[in-house]
Parts: sequence; C-alpha cells; structure tokens
Amino acid sequence: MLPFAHKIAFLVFAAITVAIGLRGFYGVYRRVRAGSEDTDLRFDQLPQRLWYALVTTLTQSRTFRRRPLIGFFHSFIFYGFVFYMLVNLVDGIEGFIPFTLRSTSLPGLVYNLLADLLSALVLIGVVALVIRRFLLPSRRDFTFNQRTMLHPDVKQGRIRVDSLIVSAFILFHVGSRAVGAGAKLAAEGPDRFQPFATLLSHSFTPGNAEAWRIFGYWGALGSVLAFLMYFPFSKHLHIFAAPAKYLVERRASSGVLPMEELDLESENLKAGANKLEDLAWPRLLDAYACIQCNRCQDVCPATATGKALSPSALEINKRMELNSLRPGEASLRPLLSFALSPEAAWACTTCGACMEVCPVQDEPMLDIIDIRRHQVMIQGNFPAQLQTAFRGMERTSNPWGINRDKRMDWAEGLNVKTIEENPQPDVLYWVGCAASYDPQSQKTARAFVQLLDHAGVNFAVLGKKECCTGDSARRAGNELLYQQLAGQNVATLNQAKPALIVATCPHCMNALGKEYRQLGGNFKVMHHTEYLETLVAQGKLRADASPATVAYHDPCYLGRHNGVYDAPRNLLNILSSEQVELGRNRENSFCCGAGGAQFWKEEETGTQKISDNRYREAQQALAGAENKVLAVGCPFCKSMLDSTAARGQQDAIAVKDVAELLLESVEKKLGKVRAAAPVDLPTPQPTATVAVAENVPEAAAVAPGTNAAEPASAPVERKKWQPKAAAAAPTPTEPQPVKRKAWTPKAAAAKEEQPKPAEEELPDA
Amino acid sequence: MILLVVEYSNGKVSKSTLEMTTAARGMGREGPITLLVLGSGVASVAEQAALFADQVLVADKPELAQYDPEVWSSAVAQIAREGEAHTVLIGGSRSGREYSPRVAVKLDAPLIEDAISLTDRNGALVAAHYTFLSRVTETVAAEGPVCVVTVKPGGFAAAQPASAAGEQYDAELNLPEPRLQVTGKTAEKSERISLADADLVVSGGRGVDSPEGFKQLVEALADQLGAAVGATRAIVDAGWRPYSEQVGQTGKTVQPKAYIAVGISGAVQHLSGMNKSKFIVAINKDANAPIFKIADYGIVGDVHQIIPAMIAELRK
Repeated sequence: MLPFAHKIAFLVFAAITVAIGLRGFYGVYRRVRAGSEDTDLRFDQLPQRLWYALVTTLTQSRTFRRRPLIGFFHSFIFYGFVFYMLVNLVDGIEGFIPFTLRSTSLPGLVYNLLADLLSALVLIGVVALVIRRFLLPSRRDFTFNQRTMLHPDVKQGRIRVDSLIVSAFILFHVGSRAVGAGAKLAAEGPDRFQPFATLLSHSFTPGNAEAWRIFGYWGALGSVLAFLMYFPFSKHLHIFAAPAKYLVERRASSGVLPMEELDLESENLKAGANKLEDLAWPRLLDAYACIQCNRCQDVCPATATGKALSPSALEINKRMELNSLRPGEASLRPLLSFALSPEAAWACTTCGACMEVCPVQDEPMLDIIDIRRHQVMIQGNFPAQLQTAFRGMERTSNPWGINRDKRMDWAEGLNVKTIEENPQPDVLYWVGCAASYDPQSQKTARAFVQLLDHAGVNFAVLGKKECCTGDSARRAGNELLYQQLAGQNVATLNQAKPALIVATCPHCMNALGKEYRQLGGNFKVMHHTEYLETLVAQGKLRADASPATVAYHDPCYLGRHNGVYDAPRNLLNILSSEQVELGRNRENSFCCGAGGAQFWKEEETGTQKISDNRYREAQQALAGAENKVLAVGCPFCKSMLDSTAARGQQDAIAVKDVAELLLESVEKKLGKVRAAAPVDLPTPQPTATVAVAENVPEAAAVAPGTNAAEPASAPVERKKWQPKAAAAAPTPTEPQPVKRKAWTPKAAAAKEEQPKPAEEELPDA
Repeated sequence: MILLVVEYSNGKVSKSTLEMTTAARGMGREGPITLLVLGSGVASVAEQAALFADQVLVADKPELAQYDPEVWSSAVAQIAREGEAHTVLIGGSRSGREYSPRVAVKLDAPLIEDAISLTDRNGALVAAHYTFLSRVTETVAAEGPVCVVTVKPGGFAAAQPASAAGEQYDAELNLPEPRLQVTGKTAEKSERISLADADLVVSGGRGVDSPEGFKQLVEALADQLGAAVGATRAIVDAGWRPYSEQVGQTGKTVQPKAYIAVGISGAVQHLSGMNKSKFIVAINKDANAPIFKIADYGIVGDVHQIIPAMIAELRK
C-alpha cells in the first residue's frame, strides 16, 4: 500500500494525465473522421470482423511474416503488454488497499510467474529491437532513398526521436515494475515462482526495500500515466490503430480498386484525392496504424529500383501532416506537396506487394490510385504517353490504337468460332488486347485454342465485340474511361451469358471476374492455367515432360491479387523435368514492371529497370541449367521480360507462356512432329489512328518573339499609338508636319509639347 | 478596348491569333479590337495582323527579340492599363499560359483559362472551358473592369480578314530590365532532320547487336540517305540510344514516305508507332519476324552484311 500522501498525489496525477491523454485520443479520432466516406463496406459482418481482428492481433500472424526473428522479439513485447494490462490493474489496486497476490494459491502462482517472466521477456525484446534499429546494419531498413519526398518532421529526425521515446518508456515502465517486484521480495523473502524478481531482490537491503518498492510503483504506473499524454502522437498508437485496421479491413481482393462514383452533372466535380481529407477515412487510420517498419519498402519494385516511391514514406508523411493539423482543421496542402512526389505517384506498378506484406494492413496503393484519379480527371496532369493509350482504348478499344477490324487476325488459319457462330459454348475464351495484337502474345492465344481443340472443348470467342477491359485505364487513374469500357463489356457479356470465361491475361481475368461486379457483371472467370489444369486432371490433355529447366514468374494479378499460385506450377510439374523457383516467388513475387499502366508509359527515373531486376533473378535461378525456360502466365510479363535490356542478344533463356509449353508437350505426346518453322503468325497490321501533331495542340502555337529567322521586310510607316486617354488630342490621321512622339502614359504631358512645329526654324537655314 | 496579343511564328501570324480574333468579334463587347504585336523585326507580322483588327499596336524593339514572361506580362499590362482595355485575350499556348497569370496579377484582374466560348452577360464575361478530361464543359463568369482570358487553341474558328485593314501604331513601352538572360539554347544534338518531319527514317533494333553496330549500320545508312534516325524501346532502354529517337507506343509516332527497319523484329509496341509509314523496308535475319508481315519489302539476312553493301552501292 502507498502512504496516504502518495495516494492523493497519485490520484491527482492520474486525473490530469488521463484527461490530457483522452483529449489527444479524441483528436486522433477527429483527424481520422475528417477523411471522406469509403465506398467499400467496413463494418459489415461485424462478428466475423471482430473474430478476425482478435485472432490476427493475438496470433501476431502478420507480424511474423517476412521478418520472423524481429516478429519473435516483437511477440515478447506484445504478449508482455497484453498481460501487463492485468498487471498494472493489480499493481494499482495494491497501492490503495492492503492486498497482495501471493504465489500460495494456483491463480496467484500463475499470475506471479507470468508477470515475472514476461517482464524479463519484454526487457529482452525491447533491448533487442533497439539494438536492431540503431546499431546493427539492419538499421538501414529505416532509411529512404534520395529521391523520396519526406515531410519536414521526418527530415528533422522525428522518427528516431519517437522510437527512442517509446523504447525508453517501455524500458522504464517494465524496468520499474521489476525493481518494485524485487524490492517487495527483498522484504517478503524469495519466491521461486518469481525467479527474475528474486534475482533482483538481492540488490536491496531491508532498509531501502520499502523506498524502492514505492519507486517501483510510481515508476511503473506513473510512467504509464505520463506516457498517456504523448501516446496519441507516438508510433506506439499502433497498439490500438493496428487492431482497428484489422477490424475494418478491406474485404475486397487487393486487385479490386474502390469504386468511384462519377457525377458529371454535379456542380462540384470531384474525383480522386487532392488533399488528405479526400482519402477515405480508413486510409487516414493507416497513417496511425503504420509502425514505420518499412517492410513495404523492402518489397516495393519501385523502391527496389531506386524510384522516388516509398509506400512507407507515404504513410509516415501522412501521419506527420495529420499531426501538424489541429483536429477538425482542413488540410492546406495537396498530397503531392508533402506525401509523395508526382514521379513517385506515377512509379507505382500496383503490384500490391506493399499491402500484402503490411503487418497492419495499410493500403498505400489505394492512396496512389486516388491521387492519380485526381491528377488525370481533374488536373489533366499525367505522363503524356498515357494519352496515346487512352485514345487507343477510346477509339479502337485497345491501347495500341490498332484497328478494331483486325481483332480476330490472331486466329488466322485456326478453327476459332465467334459467339455468333457458336452461341452456346462451354467456354468463352477472352482473348484480350495483348493476345489479339501483340505477335508475342498471339503465340499464347494460338497455343491455348489449339489445346482446347486437342481436348475437344466447345469454345467460342467474342471476336470484334470484345473490347479492352480498361484495367490499365483504371490503374492510370482514368476511372471514367474504365467505366465506359467496362460498361460495354458487361453489356456484351450479360447478353452472351457465358457459362465460364477463361482469360489468358490475368489483368483481364481480374477485371472480368472481380472488378466488373461493381458494375453489375457477375461472371465465372478462370485463368487459362487453371482451366488447363482441369483438362489435364480429367485426362483430356496428356503431356510428356520435356528436358527443360523451368522457372516460373508469378504475375502480380494472377498470384498476389487473385491467389492463383499452384495451377501453373502443377502444369509445369507435368510438362518439364525440372523446376526451379525464383528467389522471390508466390506472395513475395517481384513485379515485371508492366502493371499499373506502366506498360503504356516510360519508366520513372531510378537506378535500374524493374524488368531487368527481375530478369537477373531468373538468370541466377536458371544458371547452370541446360535448357532454360522462364515460364509466364501474363502477356505483359512476357513482353517485359522478353524485351528487357538485361536480356542479351545471345541469351539462352526462352520466355514462354505456360500454354505454349503445354502445347509443345502435348504435341510431343501425340507424336506429332512439329513443323520446322515456328507457329506461323498472322499479319499484325496495326493502324494507329492519330498523327503526332494532333497529340500536342500547343505545338502549333509557338511562343511569340521566336522568329529570329524572319526575313527583313521593308519598314512600314506607322503612326504612334494614342491610348484612349489621349483621344481628345488632334486626330492622328490628319497630315501633321510634326514628328510624332512615342506614346507615353502621361498623355497630358505629351499633348503640351506637341504644338511647337518642328520646322519653325527651317526658313533660316 | 479589346486587347489581343498576337501570336506568330516564323514571321507568320499564327492560327491561334485568328481564333482569338473570332472570339473578340463575337463576345458582344464594345471597343476597338486592338492587336498587340511584341517582338523585334515584326513589321510583316504587324501588316498581316492589320488585316484582322481595328488597330494594331506594334512594339518592335530589339529588347523584345527574346520572349521573357516578365517583360511580356509587363508590356501587355501597360498597354491594357493605358488603353483602358476591358478584355485582354492571350493565346493558350505554352508561353501564353505562362505569362497570362502575371498579367492578371499586374492588372488585379480575374483570369479565365482555356476559354472555348466567350460572351458578355450584363457586364460579366462568361466563358466555357473543358474539365474532367474534356468531357465536362464548365461555365465560369468573371466580373470587374478588366478581365484576362487565355483562349484554347482550336476553340474558335479562324477569323476572316476585316473589310478594311486596321491602322498601325507604334507603342512606346516602359519595359523592365530583363532579369533573365538566355545565355544559350541547346537543341537535342542532332544534325539530322527531326523524326516527326522526316520523309525518310532509318530505325535500328536489337539486331544491330551493339551501340557501335547502330552507328556503323543505322546512322551510316541514314547519313547516306539524308534520313532521320529512329530506335526501338529495347535499345533505348539498354541505353544505346537517347529516348528522343524512340519510335513506338511510348515514343514518337512517325509516318514517313519510307521507313527502313534494321534488325527490328516488330514488337507491337514498335509497330504502333510506325505502321502508317507509306513504304516499309525490313531487314532481319529471322524470316518469321512479325515486321515482315507489314513490310512492303523484306530482306532476310544479316544486317551486318546487307547494310554495308547497301551503303557501298549508294555511294557509287
């Protein structure tokens, strides 16, 4: 029990600190609520959500990912703090009533043992994490590359200071509790269920034990109360914000972007995010949930290749700006002036790795999409090359701007029926723009339909009715164009009512199967590797293993965004004798660099190309193999990896789609000798629709005064201009012997000087 | 007075000036349509401008030889103030967009940008301009004694000459000392014709094997023919050639009379930038390369042998 004066002092201190702390927490709540309403449901199925939040928090499952050792030390602190909620309560009561929980009963014994061990573990955990953060080479995890835009508070070392304060608080809080427990045992005698406290008890004499016990009380509980005042501004806030993020997690797959309602009739046109409060509120909560671990930066293909983008810097900058605002105060600056630079916003490939890896389920990728939407639809400010793709999608239904009449040319010489010719197919094959027009992807489409033929599948294609799914437009921020294209496709498909759609492009698959639900299109959609796997499983396709060594590259929109990892691997297992995994695979796969509309623009400035980075990984994985094959499941990955600069002219790695490889194996099994010449490709005659000049209307209007080349022309007699103010003066058209003066602003003064005729003196001459 | 700043290039009044004249004539405000010509050696520009205006003010000074937003905005603001202009029209060109806000600030006037229509409604200037990727037309109204407007190129029809040519006047100006000096201009280093205007383009791809190969084959052939030089994305990415030479989806779109593709396989990213060329010659060792499908003449063979032979033949 505390002495009486201490009791009073403690209660007063508690009242003040709790009041200040609550005010701070309310401020955080108001800052988060200043965000706009979310178009995604965040509170549906509440019991399941609560259960998910509880389980994810208590199992620490997301924290262990990627950094298991760090997660291990973090779990010491986490479980320590969970139990300390009880410990602090019991300790608090002990100060005010004569009561001590002794290890004589079973509950007392368990309580004391846990409190003792967890105190020691928390201290070990914090010391380990401090060493890791400030001393070990791993401290570089917390730095940003030079191109990254950082909030002034970050530049001034706010993150370091915050980390130090939080670590110091935990050490002092738990350390004081341990000291108090040790001092208590020094007076009461050792307790074998409190080994750590017993060990510490030897440092006290019976004379000073009581004073240290009281110090322990104030140190442990007083520090918690004092910390309450700083809590809402510290990264420690994640202990509440992270479970809150789990609770309101976005249920949609990461491949589905939030819907943006576009009301073109509205007086106040709004689209995307310009300022902080334009972001949906859960993404302002992101800033407070972020623990600044930078795992997202580790996996971001843009950061890895030296681009200006760092997803963690975005979240951290958001938090610093939020904290600099008074609660309820509107933010002053656009996001692009403090959260991330425009080049960072255009560097994102929307691969989703940041959201996949984030221990607290932050959604930085969605912020970037919102920022792009505002830049494209309101500001009209975006990389010029995207305009070519937008125009192509708008006028010819494909980003290349190739004539729509040529959409079926890929199937030349093959038995491919359109939906008109075969209105009741079992499978509707969605070809997509790439496989329709890109000679390299056409090989995939041709292989796939030949496999369907071998398996005797009744299939059809939409032919010229098929139009770009709008995936790239949506990810480039052009939601309007996306909704137009998607609307057309949903109407076409709702009319065709296909039983099953199979796509050879993961981007198309994602749009058709997942995103179109937002626009009233509910279709069953599969990737071709999934469908081919079923055909092989049913024995409709038989393949022979080839002697090639195959490495498989997981496309982001097939793997991470849609969870298809095994189907392509199972096929490769059948058709090749040896498979190797790339260093980064499955959930941790590394983007090829094409996604997020990057394919339609030049890569932002960095230290290397994303596709080179990935290709070198494939070279490493396949080093030493005889027949090297890099298998892909996406036309854009294929194009990027096949034409990347790191790929030398003599490089022996073949980049092929799983369907191409399967066809080779199936035909080998059938004993067919393939024609010596590779697949004869149809004529890809793209007809771009627009000439260059039309792109840039400004080009015609050259700045005035740049006509240095103008030939000297005969001087023209001109009168001096008289401004309106001087109109009262004699009409300038009258023949006047006077030399006209240059027009001057002081019109009156000019008039006075005029009356004197210049030739008055001439007669004397 | 309606003041209109003349845009011109190479001694010719630009179409944008005529479009602004249409806007000025049709907006329903009183006052002489006054065209202001700023520059050095601009007599012929003034003469052309006079055909369309009530009056033309000419500031023909060596100091104005070089465009400078500070000087330009100061000149326009001076004339507008002294002539008591109620409307100042500036072209929506790169430079117009740059200096028009300065003019507005100097005159303490509202600024309407990228107008596609202009009318006076009870003293207020009402203008429409595009927003939301040009899908929405927003109407704005500006009030006050003077209003600055930039006019979107192509937003109005070009004006026909007036019945009688307007009077030309010399305008004296109190110009500020330019604080910016243009010390030099570096055009993208190329003695060749620009890609976009060339009648003949020689392009190289991976098949040239190295940056040296590109010089020896593509550049040499282009020099021999007086052609512009192009490249594929792959070799621009590899750092062999500058981005300015990239032909294709994310580079330049060209449509020359003849396009010679050297060692280019024909990825769709490249084809979409050159397939409108009138006549295409492809040289590639792979007979199955997609480029041959769109080529008018195809040569299957090693570019390292064929191109030098072509150059030797051309030299004869």
